Amino acid sequence: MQKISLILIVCVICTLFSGCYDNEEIDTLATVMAVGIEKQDKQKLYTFYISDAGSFSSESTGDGAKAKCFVQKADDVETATQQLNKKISKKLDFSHLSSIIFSEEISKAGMNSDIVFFEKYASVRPQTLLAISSVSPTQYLEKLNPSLEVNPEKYFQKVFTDTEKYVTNLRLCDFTNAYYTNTTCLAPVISADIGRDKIEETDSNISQSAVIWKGKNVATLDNNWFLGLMLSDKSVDYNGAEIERTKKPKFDFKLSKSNLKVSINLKVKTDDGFDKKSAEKDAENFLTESARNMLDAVNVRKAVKRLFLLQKKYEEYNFDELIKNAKFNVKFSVVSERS
Amino acid sequence: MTNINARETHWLFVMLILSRITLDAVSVFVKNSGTAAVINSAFGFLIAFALLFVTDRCFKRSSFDDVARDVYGKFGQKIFGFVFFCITLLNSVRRITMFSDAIGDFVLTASPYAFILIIFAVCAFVTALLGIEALVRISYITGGVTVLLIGIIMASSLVEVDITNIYPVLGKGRISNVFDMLYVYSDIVYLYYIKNSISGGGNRTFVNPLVKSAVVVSLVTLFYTLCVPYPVSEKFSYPIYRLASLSNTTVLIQRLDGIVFLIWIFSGFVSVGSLVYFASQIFKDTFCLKDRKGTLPIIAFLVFVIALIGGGKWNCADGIISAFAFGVLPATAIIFKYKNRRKKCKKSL
Repeated sequence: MQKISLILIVCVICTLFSGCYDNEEIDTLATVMAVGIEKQDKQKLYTFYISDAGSFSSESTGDGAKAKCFVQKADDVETATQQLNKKISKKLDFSHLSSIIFSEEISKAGMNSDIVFFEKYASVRPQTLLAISSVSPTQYLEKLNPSLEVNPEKYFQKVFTDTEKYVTNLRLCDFTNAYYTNTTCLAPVISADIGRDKIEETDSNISQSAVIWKGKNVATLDNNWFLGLMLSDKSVDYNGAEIERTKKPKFDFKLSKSNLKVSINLKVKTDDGFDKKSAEKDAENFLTESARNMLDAVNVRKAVKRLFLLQKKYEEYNFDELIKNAKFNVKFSVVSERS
Repeated sequence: MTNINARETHWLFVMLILSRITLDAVSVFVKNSGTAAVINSAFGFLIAFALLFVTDRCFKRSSFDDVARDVYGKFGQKIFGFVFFCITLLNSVRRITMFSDAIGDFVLTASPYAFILIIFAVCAFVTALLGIEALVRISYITGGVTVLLIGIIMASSLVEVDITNIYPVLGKGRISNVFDMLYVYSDIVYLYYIKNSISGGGNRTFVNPLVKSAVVVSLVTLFYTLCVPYPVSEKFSYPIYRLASLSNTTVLIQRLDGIVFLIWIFSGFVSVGSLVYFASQIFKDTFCLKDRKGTLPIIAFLVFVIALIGGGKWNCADGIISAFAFGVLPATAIIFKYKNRRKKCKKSL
């Protein structure tokens, strides 16, 4: 009897707790789908691309805006969020944040201070995509109106990942990993025609990749066919010929304290017009050139860890210098022709 | 003390050990040895096994109090018991603080710290009041569920596994502190306190819970090391939460962060409840009290107040309980056996 009464008391207490301090209704939240960050004067301009939940309903015609942009000038994203929360009737919620778009200026100055906030924020997913915009992120987000998508969140997820050809994509967790392990990563660069009233799917383009090292954009790559071939299974275009790899590339590293030689073996299937010799030379030139720009395209820092037993020994090597002066040897083996 | 089933009791200790792994144990391994965290955890298991094996052989069927009385004398036993009570109280404070911090940081972010502490303190009080029988039965149910949930988190983070993250294999190449390595298993010390009331399960009662939990501990450590590269892996206080947030396997299996909350609730309530129970039991046995339940409100209140005042300043508790479980206890057990052997020799002469 005593035990039953105790259990009853606990149950009653539990119901009292259910009122909880954190109780939030869905209609009190403003769901942020994308954030744009750019420089203005000495501060930053934060654009919050917030979903208009009403436009998803069956009564909606589908033509109207599916999202609204709110712009806030502040020193950092935390202050911007707090200030905007005071102005609008709802509370900003980042649990559906799909992408964070930085302006080129900000990306060159350093993105880590903003990324740290998003990494700390429990509701922001590590899979959130990062991109750099060659046009103003505020104007891009304000004019963006993908007509095929009812939910703009899906647009951001698909535009970077579900394309048939190789497009660089960078996640929040990949940025953090690269930042702290001192490796490089690639971010997609968005360009769009902001002279139009609306930016539709066909009006924006992701053809370039930005090299991110130590949280900063250090170079932009126009033609990343070789990176696409190494990093993905998707087909790439080389001087009009379509190339697709059949197996993951094989790397061989010869490492000493003053020299680094990297051999890459790629098995590919191609079209008729593929010039193997010039492709190998172009790839080697691309790797040498990008290594000088601090792009560790083959992720040497990570791959050579296999050669070490102790972290201390690994840290004795000056990889910045080694990568800058590295020698690359690329070999293509054509296994079959594309049908 | 009432008789309890060995199979159910094993799960209580598995839950106590798992409660550490759901908090900071993996990050302690990573901070100590970098990419060799899994080797660190495996070594920890082997040393813990060896020390517990020695303790078990020396203890045989003698009770905890008998051993203490035999080794330290009547007054010494009281002091030994009181020290053990203080350590258990500190351990409860440390555990309640860690769970409240974790839940406050990730789930009830707007709730005051004291509010979360109250929930845990009330729950610990009620569970301890219901006694060991209720505790082991709850553990038997929640233990399996917790292991399953941890398994789901690991399976869903498989896509993030990168084998190069485990290199250099020997990591920092050093074992910094043996007690840091063992502290994850230190709660098994309470098994010796209730050993005589466990029915069935054979002589080596510690083997089953230790092996079960060591498998989970090593697997979680391995997965975390494979999914998060060093030194990024040092940055996260709750590795299991990081693993869950990385999960993105299919449309159905993603955003498993919520599962971690369930794990925290299960392991948090069971571990804090059982530690408060053990504290009251130790106090009762040491000072020969008639009623254990009378001390419970004071102990629960003490745990709440110390946790509220101290906040996160009780990190020392981990080292202390570890030193007691794998230093003081085996030493006491060895002295006990040595004394017993001398007594037998004298008798035979």
